[in-house]
Amino acid sequence: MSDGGRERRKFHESSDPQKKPGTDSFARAIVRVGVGQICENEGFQAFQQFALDALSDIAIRYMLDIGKTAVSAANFAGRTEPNAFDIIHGIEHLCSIVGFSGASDVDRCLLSSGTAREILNYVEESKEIPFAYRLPSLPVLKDWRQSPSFLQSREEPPQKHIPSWLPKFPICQTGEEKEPAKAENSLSNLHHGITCNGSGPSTETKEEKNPGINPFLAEPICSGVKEVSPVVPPSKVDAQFANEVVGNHIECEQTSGDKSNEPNLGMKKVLSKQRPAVQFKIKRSRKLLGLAPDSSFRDEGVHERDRSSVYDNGIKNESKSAGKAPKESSMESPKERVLL
Amino acid sequence: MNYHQHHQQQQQQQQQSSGEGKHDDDAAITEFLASLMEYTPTIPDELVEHYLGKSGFQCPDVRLIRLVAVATQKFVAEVASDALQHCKARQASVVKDKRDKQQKDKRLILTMDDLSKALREYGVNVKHQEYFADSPSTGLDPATREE
Repeated sequence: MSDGGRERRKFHESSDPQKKPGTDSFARAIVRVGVGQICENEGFQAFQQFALDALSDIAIRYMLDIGKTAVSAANFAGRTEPNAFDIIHGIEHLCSIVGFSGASDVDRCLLSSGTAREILNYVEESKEIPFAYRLPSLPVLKDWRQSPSFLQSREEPPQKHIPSWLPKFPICQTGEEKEPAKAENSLSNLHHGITCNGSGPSTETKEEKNPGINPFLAEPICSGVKEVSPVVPPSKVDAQFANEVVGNHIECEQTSGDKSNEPNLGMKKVLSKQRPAVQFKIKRSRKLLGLAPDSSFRDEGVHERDRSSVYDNGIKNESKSAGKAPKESSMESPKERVLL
Repeated sequence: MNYHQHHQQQQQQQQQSSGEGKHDDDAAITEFLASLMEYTPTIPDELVEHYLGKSGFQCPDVRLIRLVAVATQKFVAEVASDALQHCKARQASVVKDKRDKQQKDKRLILTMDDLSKALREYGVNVKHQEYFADSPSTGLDPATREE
């Protein structure tokens, strides 16, 4: 017995489907205000929401259509920039449905067309209605500072495949330089979960120290036996410690290799003292790349779950502290995949 | 020879007139756009520039943007006035039937019905769902619903 879709309705009401996400929502809101002002000037005292939305949408399409027609008229004439005649041509094109005086004349000057005269009459007769709000320049862009390229900052890219004209990798908020290339490597290592030669940071340091060992070129694992690297999950005792650990796992490179090794040792020490609790979490997608739930994962799987649960805490803490939503989303995919 | 001379004279006259015509056209354009610049449209220039940019219209001349803004404002005003006519006509017909509700219906509200009627003349078909039902059997008789 269903409740008639009440839950779904509530969900839709809460998510507010009328709001269209994107950069155009601000411009649409401004058009709504402008159209509302025009209608108010005509004599309306109230509006239905759908009616106002529809009229503002039509006004937007009107502007877009004028622009499109004007641009095509200019291009046909061999110009890249439209002029007043092109715009009047566009307005005539839209007014052709209703009709205007002089539409049937073959040799007419566009300036003397009925549409231009009507616009002049409207300008002379109608009342000026200034817009209600002060506007910033559109489109509203966030404060975007272009990061310098490797060439500009006179640095060598960390990997050979990265060209030097690309912008530098962003600096992590913890103050250590983050290199998403290596982050991606660590993430892909986590994805596979098999080819890791240890915990996250140690793999990168090992890669640095031994560039010859490429986990992706490791021998394929037989179907029956699955070798899993000994994963050292950190303890969940301290949230800050978990942050550091997550930072070690997410951030690919420490400034020095020694620093990266120390927390690993610390983690191992903590692990020996306390057995971390197991948290089972059921996630929506269990599609793993080449992975299948296997009994051999029992011991390591527990550790992996702990690590993933730590990731949950770490990610939540980090997202709260840093406020980085895309980071969380990027981390969630490996988290989902790690969980069995 | 006479014919040739006459033809040449005619061509020269035409060229002169076209030259003058061009000057007249320039003056006419300048006048037209200058008269537009005195008027501040409701739709802001930044907004119009944004949407014209979306359709590939790149022009540094503010007067052309004002022209588009005024044209859009005129169009919206015309649609709104037509919708208002429909709204007033509807209220007048209601008032004839029930004069008690005259004071209640004084408020002029832009409804989807009036708007769709007004836009139909401009070739825009706007249809709005009157209501959304929970299930296909909503509103049916209980006897048929049980079946």
